[in-house]
Amino acid sequence: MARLLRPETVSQALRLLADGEVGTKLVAGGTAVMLMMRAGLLFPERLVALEHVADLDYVEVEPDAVRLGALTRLRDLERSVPLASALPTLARAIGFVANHRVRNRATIGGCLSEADYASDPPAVLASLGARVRLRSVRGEREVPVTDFLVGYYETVLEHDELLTEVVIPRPGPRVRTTYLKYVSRSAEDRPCVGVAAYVDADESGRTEEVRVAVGAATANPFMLGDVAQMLGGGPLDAGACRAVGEAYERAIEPIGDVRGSSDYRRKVTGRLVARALETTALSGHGNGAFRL
Amino acid sequence: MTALHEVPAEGGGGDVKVPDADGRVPVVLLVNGAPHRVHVRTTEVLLDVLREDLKLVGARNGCGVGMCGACTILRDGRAVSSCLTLAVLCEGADLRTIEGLRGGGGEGGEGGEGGGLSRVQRAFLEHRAFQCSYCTSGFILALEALLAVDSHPTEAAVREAFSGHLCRCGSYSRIMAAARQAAGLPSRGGLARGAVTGGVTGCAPDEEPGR
Repeated sequence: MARLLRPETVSQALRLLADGEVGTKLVAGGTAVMLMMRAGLLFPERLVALEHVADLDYVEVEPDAVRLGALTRLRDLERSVPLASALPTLARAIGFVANHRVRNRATIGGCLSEADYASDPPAVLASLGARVRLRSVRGEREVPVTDFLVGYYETVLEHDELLTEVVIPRPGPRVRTTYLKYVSRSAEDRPCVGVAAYVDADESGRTEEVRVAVGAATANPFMLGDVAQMLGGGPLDAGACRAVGEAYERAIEPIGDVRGSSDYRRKVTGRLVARALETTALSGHGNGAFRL
Repeated sequence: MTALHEVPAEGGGGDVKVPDADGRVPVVLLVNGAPHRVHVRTTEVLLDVLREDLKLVGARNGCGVGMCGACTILRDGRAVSSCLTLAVLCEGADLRTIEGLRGGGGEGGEGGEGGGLSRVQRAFLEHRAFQCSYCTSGFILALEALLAVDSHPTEAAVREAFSGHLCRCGSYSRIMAAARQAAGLPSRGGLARGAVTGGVTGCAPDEEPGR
């Protein structure tokens, strides 16, 4: 039966992790850990509960970046006025996770550390170029979310590391962002496919930077690196949106699961990418998140 | 909570609970305002402790994965799924179950039918907002949690608070009628059209772009 440890500071938690004891599991909000324990997938010998760790529950909006403490609950992020005004698409997308009871407990650090592919925040964070701060007694490092998530339920976290903060660069005033969540079973299901789009274009519509991250379809958010190049700096008109969608449809190799077969997801991805770009660039709906 | 600082066996710092030979640790849970000392396995969920140790059976075991809402309780005023909550992690939290609701605001406790019940409970009774009632305590607590922070919620906010609460009897329109009454929203008369199709479980319909 698992021992339970309840550190009260980050450094206490890091010292506990530093001993390298096998079978140690961190638990923050506990929703994911409980699901895995109940499914018989996890048999921790030592639970390190982060419930009482102080000072990791915050939203800090700075001129260049927004910083989210890892133990900030999804519900608090969703309802944070500063976050909603700085990064409305992210705040709204976080409100799409599961239901209010889960969001009342789940934390943003736990959400990322669990690395569930069928989740909304990772794709949005990837499209925004977010980074995570990882701390251990050895020191700390910052890793882009796209490098942090490496596989199904797999991250680059070392056994002695703790995700302490999510850092999101603030987009410039021209940037428009959208997240489209497509669900195939019920309104509060995990996404079948989620698409986050980031478009930086001038008044004439010439695109400077375009990023599209597809979530829930592959092990980690799927991004093609050269979308703006694909467009040749040209305007993001309906034809261009469709072309990018088709490029994603050709390139992605989605997982098949209860929310859709691989083939189905591939087709959904193509349409959803095109629609996300249209919504961002053309429809005037930019900066929002929508459930389909 | 009092913490044991400097615990050398665990490398220093924080509070440590080591299970006894039976795999259990002592925990004090504050439930409906009263402290309860229980011995729980570190992997035990709060729902089981409430029902089996404390005999509070208002929270029901439904899906077991936080999707149906039958096991809803209030933790520090917020609705949570007790099936996804480790009991050992609830020490120091203010836990409230449906059994802990009382009439308030000078309206409750007038005796007779519905006496001592909360405004929300009475509204559910008046509208007969249930058939089998398995989901009822979850719906009621979800609405209580909302009303505690927003005494005049919009209908969209009520629906949002009900997201992730399933009623397998399909009493949604009656549930919404009761909720409208308790929240002081205009009634729609009878079985309101749209109460079901708007999706009680699906929150307020989102704007759909590109359609």
